[in-house]
Amino acid sequence: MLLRGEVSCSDALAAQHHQFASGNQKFHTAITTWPVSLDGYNENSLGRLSGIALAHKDIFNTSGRIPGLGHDEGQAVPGTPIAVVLKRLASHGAANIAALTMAEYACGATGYNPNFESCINPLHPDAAVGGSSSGSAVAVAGQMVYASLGTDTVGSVRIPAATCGLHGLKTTHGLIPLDGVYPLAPSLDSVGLLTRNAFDAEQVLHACVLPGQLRETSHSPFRVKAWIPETGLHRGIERALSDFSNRQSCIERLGTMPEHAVLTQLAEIVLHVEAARTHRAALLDCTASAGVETVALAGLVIPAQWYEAALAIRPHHLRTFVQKHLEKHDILMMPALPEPIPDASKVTTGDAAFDVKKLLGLHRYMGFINYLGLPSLVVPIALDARGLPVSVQLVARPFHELRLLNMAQKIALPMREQAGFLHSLSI
Amino acid sequence: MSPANRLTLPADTQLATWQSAALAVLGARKIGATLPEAQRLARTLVRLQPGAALALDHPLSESFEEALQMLSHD
Repeated sequence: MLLRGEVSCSDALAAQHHQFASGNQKFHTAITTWPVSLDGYNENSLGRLSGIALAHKDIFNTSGRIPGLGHDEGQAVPGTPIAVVLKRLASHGAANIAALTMAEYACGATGYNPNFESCINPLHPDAAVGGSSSGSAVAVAGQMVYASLGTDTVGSVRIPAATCGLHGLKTTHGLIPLDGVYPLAPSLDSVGLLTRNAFDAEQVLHACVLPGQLRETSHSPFRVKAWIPETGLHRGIERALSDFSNRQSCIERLGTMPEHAVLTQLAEIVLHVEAARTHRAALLDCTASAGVETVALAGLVIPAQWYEAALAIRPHHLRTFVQKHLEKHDILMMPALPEPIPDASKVTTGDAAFDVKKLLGLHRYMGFINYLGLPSLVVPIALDARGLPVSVQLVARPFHELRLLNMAQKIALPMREQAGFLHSLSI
Repeated sequence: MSPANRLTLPADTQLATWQSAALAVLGARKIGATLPEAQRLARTLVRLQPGAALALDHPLSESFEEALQMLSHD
């Protein structure tokens, strides 16, 4: 409608701003909102994202403001340059209308944050919202914005996407610049996208990268390899993934992936050491938050040579993994979460129902992908007995994000349809 | 194989173990220990033991960014 001139950019943005404000009253996801500025807008020269309002995790610098990082409401600091990725989105016409809540300092697998009102999962009020990009997931799932940027260090885009029935894309390490993005563990950090469908993700992704950075992909049937763990997976999830892999005619199926444990261990070493460097002063002053302590304390005592070795061996592991799983196959499919989406009470520390295994389970299939630096996309493929999504995680070679999105267009469950039209599962 | 091409991983990097060590660091810092002293104490307390060695027959000179670019081609 924008392209056909049936709606002006200003009208479209005003409507989205209103919708965002309405959703925020229900789901509590905004830290700060900004009025839409139409300065410089040229209705006759539309960019890829002209007339589109976006809002992002409060971890990106904006012009003259440093983000609050889930700790506070941010701070006006004149002269602060906007994060490079936000500048690119703006250059394509996108408006930035809000900074969104997150786990404090990106240290958390859920949306729990004692500093702000808890955000609500739009799919079910009792269901957990994954983190740390929790506000991004809620804003997109709640129809408040079309897309939102987050960051993913050990699953912080993919976990919230999986809990809210969204597409969550962790990009290849280094594809999107991290300038102006607050770090957690720089070797693992990637900017990621949350959207309701693959088309929206592709539009935003193209605006975030430079021409030629993404590998083009064929539209022929993809050769898919499935890893469906024989142990540790909820029976209903296992059944959903098995059924899905059969429908996709996966040409190879693994029951075990021995390297997963080692790669996860290496990812943990890198995470702990780099997070400890990021938060060193607060850790030593004993002023770090509980979330930061959980992630970063261990890094104070991990021997430096283990960290250096974990980084030195990384290219070898990447090459071995790609040769083993992505040479004869285009996509590796695996679980996103090991169990159905938990209730928030089960993954909130301090709650009487808290179950540490459920909290740690959220990360299980995430961190090793960050260590390898590969692109990964979480996509909903089925519904469980509660009507909540079951997602898979798709992994491809470096810079093959478009292949993941192309596959997602073929397989993703349309989340707002009636369950009767969908492939529904009883978990 | 040169020693540089061997990586010895910890036997146990479970979060709880590392957190115990880290908490020991903080405790030591609170009573005035220097950071190196606190780190030595923590490692002693949790008895960090080396685990299985991973043998590498691959040179470690390649950068991660180079590997990502090279492996992007089908």
